[in-house]
Amino acid sequence: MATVVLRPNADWNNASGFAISGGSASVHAALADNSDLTYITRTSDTVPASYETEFGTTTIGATEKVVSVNLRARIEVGTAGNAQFSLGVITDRNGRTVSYSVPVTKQNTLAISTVDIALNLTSAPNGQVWTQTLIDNLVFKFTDNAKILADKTSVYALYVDVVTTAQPTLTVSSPSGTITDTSFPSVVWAFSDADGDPQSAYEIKIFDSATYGGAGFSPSTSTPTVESGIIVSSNNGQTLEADLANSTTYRAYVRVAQLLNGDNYFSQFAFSQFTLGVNAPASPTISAFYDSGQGNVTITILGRTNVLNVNQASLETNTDGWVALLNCAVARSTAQASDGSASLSLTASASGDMTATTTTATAFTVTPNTNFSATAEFRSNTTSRSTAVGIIFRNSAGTTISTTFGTAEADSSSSFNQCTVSATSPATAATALVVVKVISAGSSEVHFVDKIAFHAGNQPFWTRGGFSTFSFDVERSDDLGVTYTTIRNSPVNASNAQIATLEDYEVPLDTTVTYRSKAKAEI
Amino acid sequence: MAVLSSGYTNTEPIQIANALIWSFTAVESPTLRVTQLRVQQPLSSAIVESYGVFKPLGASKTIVVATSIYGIDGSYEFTTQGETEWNDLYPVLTYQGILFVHDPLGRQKYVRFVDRTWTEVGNINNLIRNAKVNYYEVESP
Repeated sequence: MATVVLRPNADWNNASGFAISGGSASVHAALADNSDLTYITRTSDTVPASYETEFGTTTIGATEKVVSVNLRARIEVGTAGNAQFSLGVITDRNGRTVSYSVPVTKQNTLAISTVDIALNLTSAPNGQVWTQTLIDNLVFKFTDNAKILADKTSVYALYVDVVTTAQPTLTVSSPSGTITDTSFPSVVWAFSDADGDPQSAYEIKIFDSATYGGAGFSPSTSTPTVESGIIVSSNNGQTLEADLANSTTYRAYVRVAQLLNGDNYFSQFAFSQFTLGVNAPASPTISAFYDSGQGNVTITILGRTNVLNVNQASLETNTDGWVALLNCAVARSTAQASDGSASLSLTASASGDMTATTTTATAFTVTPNTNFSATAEFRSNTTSRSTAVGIIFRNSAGTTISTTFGTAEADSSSSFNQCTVSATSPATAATALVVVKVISAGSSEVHFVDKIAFHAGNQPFWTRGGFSTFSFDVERSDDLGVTYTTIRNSPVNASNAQIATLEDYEVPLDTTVTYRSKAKAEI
Repeated sequence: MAVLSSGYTNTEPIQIANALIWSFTAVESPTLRVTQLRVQQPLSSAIVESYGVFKPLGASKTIVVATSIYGIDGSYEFTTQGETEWNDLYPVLTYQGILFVHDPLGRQKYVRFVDRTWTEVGNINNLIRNAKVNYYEVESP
């Protein structure tokens, strides 16, 4: 904090009622020097008699505020003296109106000394927050109630201490650049205050590029995509569980505060720009059924996110998780890739069909009588063949119950071609494997497979592998999708097969409702 | 571990009509639920207001100081026949939490059962039980 000392610079009222000792040119000048040889004393014995003086001023910068204003006076009080001191502000110069603080009394003999009047006014005497105008209009009032000379008070010097504090600043360091590893990036900043005051609060607002690039944008008044509200905390970061859209550029605006007389004194907003570019889980499928006989809604959510691990899905490291099943050798190849830089190569041992599957050690949990889907992309090294992807359903003992292939499609040496399959799991199904097949391959013929996925539901969909701990947020709208609120027991954890069911017993009656869901997963 | 999130998928709009039944659901423990049970009429409801009455010396009229009205409280009387119906009702009847109530008139509210009494009559193999429970209307948990 900084302190500026102001001195008297003009008489405001009743200078003629006070005598100047020591030869100063004016009453206020006698109080503005630092000499004990110049001072003022009331002229007559008529009581009470007051003198008022104005002060010079100081400029309050745009990045600082007044913490307090205090008064110090160098005085000498007579034997049975009684003098009052107060500080005021001129609120109407032409009407000569002044609002004063409650006066402080000094009495009964005080040798010449500089006294802290201890007003420490955190707001102006008129009750308002200190402003430049109020600082420009400070007035000191001195009232001497002595009736005889020996009791009179002399004033030698006056000082007004204006204490200011600098506005805090910050630098927002993250998120920045392209965020690929989380949908919920952490906002991190560095707080700074020239006076060393600690952070008392912060506020985060995230705006998409359409908003912050729009006309009339202001982080203070524009509507953010998500906001934290004012958080009373000294933390320098927060992760916002926000609905940020993928492939969208945002700015995280942050402002921080320090305490100023018990209230938050906020910095300007600072921001960090980032783009959300995650390889996110697939949007789930959601269905809802109202049981009018029971009065509740059953919501079923099927995740469609690939349950293969990262390497099984894209073969970027090795062939772990894959094994040759029939008439082939499998290898990781960088000759062709549809995702990343490698794929699974199948080399035929002899003429005929060749197949490879995910390993039994990585068999995927399934539930009976449920739709599951798989996808895989095929590319031939030279000769085009019919290719297909399939699902092997197994019972709890690991015995194959059935194998279902999707429609066979010819691959090509010029590009990858996606094959898909959807099938309903048998009543005794417990686990499943993904199988890829090249039909009637020639001996030593090579075909590549990449972007392989397996998930619940009947809408085959590719996402990267390696996700785990699936859950779904479920919300309900009863105003045709304008606003949504989270329903009870959401988020709901999904089974290993990415299936979850939730009952909404509190659905409002005689309305039209809509439900929505999004999938969350860890990588 | 980082958490990734998908976009939203919406259902089609669903019309929710009044099911015209009684249901009592422990929404925080929804396996405790009973529906389509017999609730006797008339329904007893009351709005209770705690108040104090002052008659200050010298005043010409009484002064009443009261608390807020905290909802519509009351009682329900259930009738069950046989052990199956009673076994369905009993866990809800004795649940020490907040129940979501939905009545055939389409009214919904949250209640807390506080007193339970019942009578039994009839053949031991087909007992008819009349249970009465007092409740307070409470906030959603």
